[in-house]
Amino acid sequence: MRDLWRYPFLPAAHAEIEKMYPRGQLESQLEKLLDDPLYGEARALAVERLNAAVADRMESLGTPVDERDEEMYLLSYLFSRLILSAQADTKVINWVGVTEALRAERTLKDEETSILLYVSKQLGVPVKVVEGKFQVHYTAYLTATKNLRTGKWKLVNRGVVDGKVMLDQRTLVRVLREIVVEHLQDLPELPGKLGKKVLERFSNDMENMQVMAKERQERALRELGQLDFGKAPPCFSGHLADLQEGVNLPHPARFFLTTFLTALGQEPEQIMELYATAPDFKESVTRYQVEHITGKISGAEYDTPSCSSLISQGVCPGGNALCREIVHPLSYYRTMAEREKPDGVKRKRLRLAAAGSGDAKLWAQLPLKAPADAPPRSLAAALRADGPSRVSLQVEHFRGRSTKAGGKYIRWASARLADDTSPSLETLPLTQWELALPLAHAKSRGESVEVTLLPVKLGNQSRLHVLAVS
Amino acid sequence: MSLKEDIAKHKASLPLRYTQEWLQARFREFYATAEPELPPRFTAREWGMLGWGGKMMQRHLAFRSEGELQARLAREAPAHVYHSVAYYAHPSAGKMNEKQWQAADLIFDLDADHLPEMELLKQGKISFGALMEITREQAVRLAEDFLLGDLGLALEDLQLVFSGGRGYHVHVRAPAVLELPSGARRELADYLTGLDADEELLLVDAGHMRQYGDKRYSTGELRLPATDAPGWQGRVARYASAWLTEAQALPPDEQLARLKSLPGIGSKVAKQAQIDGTPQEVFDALPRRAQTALRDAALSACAVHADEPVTGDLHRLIRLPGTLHGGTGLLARSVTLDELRDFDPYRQATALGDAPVKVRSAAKHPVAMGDVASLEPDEVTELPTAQGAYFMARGFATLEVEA
Repeated sequence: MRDLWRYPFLPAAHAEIEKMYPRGQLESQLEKLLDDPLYGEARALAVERLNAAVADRMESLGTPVDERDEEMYLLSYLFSRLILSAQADTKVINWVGVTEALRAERTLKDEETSILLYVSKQLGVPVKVVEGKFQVHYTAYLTATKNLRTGKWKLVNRGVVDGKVMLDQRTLVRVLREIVVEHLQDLPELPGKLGKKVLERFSNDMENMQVMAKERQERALRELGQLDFGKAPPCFSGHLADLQEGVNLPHPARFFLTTFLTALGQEPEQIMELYATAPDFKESVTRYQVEHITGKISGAEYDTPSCSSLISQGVCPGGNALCREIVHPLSYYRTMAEREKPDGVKRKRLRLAAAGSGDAKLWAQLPLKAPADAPPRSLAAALRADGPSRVSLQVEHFRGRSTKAGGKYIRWASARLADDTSPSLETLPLTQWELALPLAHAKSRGESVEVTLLPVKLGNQSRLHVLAVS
Repeated sequence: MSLKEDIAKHKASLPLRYTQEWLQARFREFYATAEPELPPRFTAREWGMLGWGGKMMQRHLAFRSEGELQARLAREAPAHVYHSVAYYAHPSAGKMNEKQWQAADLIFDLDADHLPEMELLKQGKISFGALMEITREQAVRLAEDFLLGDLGLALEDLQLVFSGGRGYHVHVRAPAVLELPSGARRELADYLTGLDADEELLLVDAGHMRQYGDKRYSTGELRLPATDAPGWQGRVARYASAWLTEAQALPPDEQLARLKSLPGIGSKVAKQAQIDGTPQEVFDALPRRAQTALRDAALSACAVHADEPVTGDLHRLIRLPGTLHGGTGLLARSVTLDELRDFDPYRQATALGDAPVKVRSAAKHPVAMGDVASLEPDEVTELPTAQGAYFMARGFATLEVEA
């Protein structure tokens, strides 16, 4: 295949390198290559690959100009794997996996069918083209989508016929990305001597990388905003309430609470205080467990489990409408932190959620809040009124959505509200979930919900209504 | 405790002890000549056995030959015999990680206790026999609709087993499923129950935006998918079509009543609903709440409630077909799909013969073994061994010993 350098993680790409260095000699050659001035370019590119991932940059790595250059690209990937393996830093390994996979996904999206088939096969997923769609065996689909299992990814919503699942190109490429991420977690084990050599050769680069990693983590923590349990998902709030009422929580639930709080920047001491109410509280034992999980003792910090693990451990109490849009409890918290964003950011995200429709300037004028007190009216009257109204409405339709823009997900909801005085009202995108969740709740219970509507007129646009839920 | 109390307690426990010894003796006779149905690669599996009277489970057993297993069964006559669904490099190792997991059969466990209809039994609305029938019917649909249909498995990939207790097991041994991770298996169990089915993804969303005055709103129309659409879409379409076709065949006033049984349909809408035309046309004209109600009815009518933790467990021990269930005295046994269609465990899974045995009812209410035999409170009666063993193993009766 041409352009193997775009997919350096494929077995065929590795075979290509091995072809250059006859059988069994690659390993012994590697040590030399690490010092060889001729390969400085490959080494620099390897570091750039990693730095880009750590800094969460997605720009392309350029394009090789000739065959020798392609070889450099392939080698740069191999070097980057050596560095990752020697450095053994889980979070960097995860970031790199995701970035490399996203980069591959970007080019795969536009590849010809034959190349897609080739890449799929190389990744261990046999695919057949049937009537313009891609046919995958359900076992391959289920194995690859282990982190996606919600909404349209659930097998029940996709359908399987005669053991086959049908995917369009975009979906197939998305599945391939998952496989690549998984695949990139598997690092080569380095013989001691080679490992030492790598650590020596790249020590400055690694230090640099650690500084960037720390900055990124601090940035992420700021994203989460102030510690506020109001933003926490039902799994957290429920177990926390249980804990405070003295319910004896099973171990997976404690593990989850501890890792979740650690991710929110809480110190072991503060976490300990929460557990003091537990019925079987033993200071020394709890301290050991908390400090072990938070990495104070073991050195290995444990990540907060994803929704799928929480479900399988029985920690998840069943999610709400926002849970269906996320696969990790921290994403829930991050999404709820939307309300702390500056108004400018909120408006921009609203506009992106609305798929950029309408003039940016108009969106900038949109008020973000409806006043708290307003006279009660029917929907028909509220739609005619010039001022704000309180209306009791039925939620006819509610749907959570995820839109990707600028490399980030915007989670929002759309709803259709009605009473029996008027045709239904379609909401603007709801990016603030403390508005959206009560609507979802009312919909699922078939209850009506009190909302405040504020009519606004932006330019020549038809009249819009801003919503607040009590 | 005084000596007197001690003696009284001892006496009271005697009937139970005699009953247990009698049961074990029958099991021993059975195992003297029994030939259990060994699973493929049985030497790579872990085995477990449970003795009588709540004795500890013996786990981490391994057998190198059929004869070795048979000899052990004949010697110990255990109450329960299990093998692992997993294949291990070292099945008898004491710890999971030392066993070295290689692969596992995919298991579906349909147990009467785990069906939603169990609630009806608790409320006294259906009998236990009826619940067993529902379980059997789900097992047929599991095999036919889902495993052979949707998943495209071949009949020879499946082993259908009456569990000896309250349900059925399906062992799937197609090479493609053996290495499926736990999450993927649980997703298959979710698929069977239709969990998290999305209304817009199951019905066809034909809604579009309309202008009304100066506002836009979505018409939010849903349509019925084609009856041959993949998976659940087709299942919902077939169910709704059949429901509507049946309604169309009714006399006009009954048609109205039938339509009004759907939520969101009052007399006015029912009269307006266009009952002529294809089921597809009728469905598309129904109000949304009626459409989703039909979809939900389809979901619950077509769902199969296999116990999810069993399907997701890669290390599970499961009862060996061809052995007896210590809690019923019935035989866990393979059945063909055709046998399953009218399988009656109380007639077709007995293995202890019909020599007469005298039992005393210990139940506070009448109890039954399907429609084969029943027992009134305090009744002392003579039954064929298989039936007597059933009541005694379930704890509904004790052995009546001649003084």
